[in-house]
Amino acid sequence: MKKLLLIVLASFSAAAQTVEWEADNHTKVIFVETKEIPIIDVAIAFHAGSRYAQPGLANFTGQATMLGSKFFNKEQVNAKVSITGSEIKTYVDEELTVYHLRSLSNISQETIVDQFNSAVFNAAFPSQELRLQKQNILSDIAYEQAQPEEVAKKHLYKSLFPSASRYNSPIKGYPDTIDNYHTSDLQKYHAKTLGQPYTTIIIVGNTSIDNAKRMSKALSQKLIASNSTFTKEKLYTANDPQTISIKPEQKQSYFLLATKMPVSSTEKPFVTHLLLNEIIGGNSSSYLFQSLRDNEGLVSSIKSNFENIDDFSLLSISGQSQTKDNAKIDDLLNEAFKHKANIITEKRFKIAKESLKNKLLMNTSSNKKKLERLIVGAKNNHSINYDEWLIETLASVTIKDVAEALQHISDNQFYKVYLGC
Amino acid sequence: MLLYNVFKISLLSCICLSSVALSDKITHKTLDNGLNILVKEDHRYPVASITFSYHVGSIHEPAFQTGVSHFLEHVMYGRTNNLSHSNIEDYYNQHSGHYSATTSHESTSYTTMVLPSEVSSVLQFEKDRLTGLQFLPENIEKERSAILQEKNQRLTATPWFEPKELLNTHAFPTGAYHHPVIGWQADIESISYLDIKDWYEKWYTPNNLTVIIVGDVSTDKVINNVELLFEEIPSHPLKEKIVLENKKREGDVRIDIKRPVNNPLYIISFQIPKPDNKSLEIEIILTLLTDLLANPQQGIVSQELITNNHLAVDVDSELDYLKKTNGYFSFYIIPNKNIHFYSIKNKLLSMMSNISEADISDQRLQEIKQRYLAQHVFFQDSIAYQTRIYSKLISLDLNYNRYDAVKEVLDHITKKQITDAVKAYFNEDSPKAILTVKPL
Repeated sequence: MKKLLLIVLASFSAAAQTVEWEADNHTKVIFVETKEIPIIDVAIAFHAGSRYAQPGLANFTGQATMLGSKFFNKEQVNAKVSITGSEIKTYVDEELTVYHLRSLSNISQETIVDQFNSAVFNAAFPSQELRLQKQNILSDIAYEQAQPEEVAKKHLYKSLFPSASRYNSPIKGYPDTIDNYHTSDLQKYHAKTLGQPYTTIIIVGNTSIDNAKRMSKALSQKLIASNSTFTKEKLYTANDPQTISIKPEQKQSYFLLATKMPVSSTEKPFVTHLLLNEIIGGNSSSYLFQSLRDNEGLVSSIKSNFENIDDFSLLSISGQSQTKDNAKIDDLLNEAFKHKANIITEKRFKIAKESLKNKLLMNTSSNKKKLERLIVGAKNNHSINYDEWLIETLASVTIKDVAEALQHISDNQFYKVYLGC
Repeated sequence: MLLYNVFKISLLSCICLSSVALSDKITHKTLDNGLNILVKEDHRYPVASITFSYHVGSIHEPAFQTGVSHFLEHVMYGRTNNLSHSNIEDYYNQHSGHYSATTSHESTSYTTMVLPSEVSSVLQFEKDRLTGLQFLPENIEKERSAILQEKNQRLTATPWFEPKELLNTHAFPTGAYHHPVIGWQADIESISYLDIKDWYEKWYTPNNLTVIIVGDVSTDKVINNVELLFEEIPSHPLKEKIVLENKKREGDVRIDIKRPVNNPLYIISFQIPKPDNKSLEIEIILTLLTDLLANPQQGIVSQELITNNHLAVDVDSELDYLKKTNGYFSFYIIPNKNIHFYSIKNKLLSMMSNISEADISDQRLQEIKQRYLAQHVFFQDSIAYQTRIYSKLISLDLNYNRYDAVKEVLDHITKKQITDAVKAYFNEDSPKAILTVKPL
């Protein structure tokens, strides 16, 4: 809390204000006060995701962090946290490891944050508990193997990224890799996680700014300065496009197609592509929904998605169909992206712009969603007004910008996964 | 250890259930035509959730028309007297952040998330399709195809969906909950557009509708808005909603199936009482039992089956209470290798019959109560959840403010009440529905 209160910005809400400051060790702290509901959410986001570790190690470490600390065993951690009704959850994606504490605001926050602090920063990874945690992760992996979306995504990433790339492996890893990790592997990775720069603490809920400062101080003091930062591999080197057909054990029919683009999440072209995505398949007025579902009746659902993966972005199209229709769907999509006719119209552009603006404005409808959006901002090393920046930039995107972006999408640059062929 | 005990005491002393305050200011109004309005202000974020909940769902469907409620839900996005199908889609995409429709056993709901300035526009739109939906054969056929695909996808999405549907069918052999909400395949294929039109005309009337609005709105303003738009719409007398009760039966229903799964699964479901406006206490007790018995770390059943007797590798539970008829409390058990079903069932029943107040420490009771309360509060964070729960309660003819008394009821629940409930509902003689799933 040495450099205090850098900025105070009004967020989109008339009621909730977002405040940001820098605490010890240059840790960024973001605080949003909401009084209506007696809940406090505290999250600490480390730039330590699956892309920086062996397959599944980041997720395993994150999940195992709450198994006990050097001072309290797992039962004690559980007893202390759960006796208050609080929850501690860990989220690990490609870029971040986030520890999230949710508790009622009428309990002693100092006590509960102290416990959270101890669990995160003094994790002991006891070997007996690790065995059970391994079983849980293996069950999760088995469950995902029965989900068409997950199966398709796993194969897509395998085809997108070279085998040496960390992105080639799923976040949860593989059963054999999980089985081979030991306490020392987790301890080593966890220690490195705690030393990463750009750590962000986010507090949302029914507490005062003074309490938020105390909580963030208690957390930030434990962060260690370290020169041992993770090395980011260059991602925008990928395999050539390919088509994969899978006949799964279950009778599923699902398709996922994706094409990559050199677009950064903090520049205007990213927003242009978000809008293009909205026009292509982001809503029920979109080109794909109307042509493949409403007009052709080939799919029961279809959507497109645009996401940033560090130094490039991915436009993907996914949907559920009857197996017999997959070839026809493939032909129609090839045709659409070859000629690019009829995708962008004045009307569709106008609707998509309004639709995207509404989605961005209504991203925040609860404390939990507010926290999630602030984590997205932290992920992009962006300031607290990331959504505001997206909306402002969206206003300046023209139909010409979107049409130009569409011209860069080529029908032969799609990576394709068909399930149930 | 000393540090731990000191810590524990200090935490206990700081918990005071009655000090958790929720702003439960819900306003309710019934218009002359029978339309109900519920409004709850929540000004944290500039968003409003609007749900139009028609109190008709799959439990009201006659034989050979199963799935008609869900079918109508799809058709509701078709043409109206004033708007084409594409106008409707365009409207939603231009004016809302999110919109969805859900058909349940008891109701069909249409929810839209909008900026507060768009509330009146959504109300106008909902009025349009309440009063002037058109039924075009080509639209019906397109939706029939989409629904059949949806049904196929649901059944094949996970290996567990179809067995659970099968269990439900057998657990309610003669009652209204017998068929799936989406309907039987043969019925979906044969429902005519006249059946759907008839369903709409019969049940989509103001006296069978509740409008629920939660969010950054002014109560007076939105009630006034609903009144202006809807009070002139005439209602017609509602036909009696026939909800078939399950015939009372003795003994258990058991289904054994084989599926492409890695581990066997045993589901043992005990029948529990039907809810009414005086049953909040038993609802809370049954919810506490999901934690007390099957919490992965400390659950009494989990500990006995997994840690102490090595009979199982995983134990979970599920409470299906809010229904128009008797629901079920289910144990989901993944057995250890070569452990027979009867070893698990016998152990479970023996534990239930021998449970005593001594098995529940004061700390444990305090803990499960506190966790219940915390979850109750955490759910309030989502305005969409709030509209869903109000819709559910009203569809079951339960008071919308059922949970206002949670804190007081929770405070007074005793160990004896909990063990009495276990003995009353989880015993050899209580009707059970059992499903065993084994690998192929």
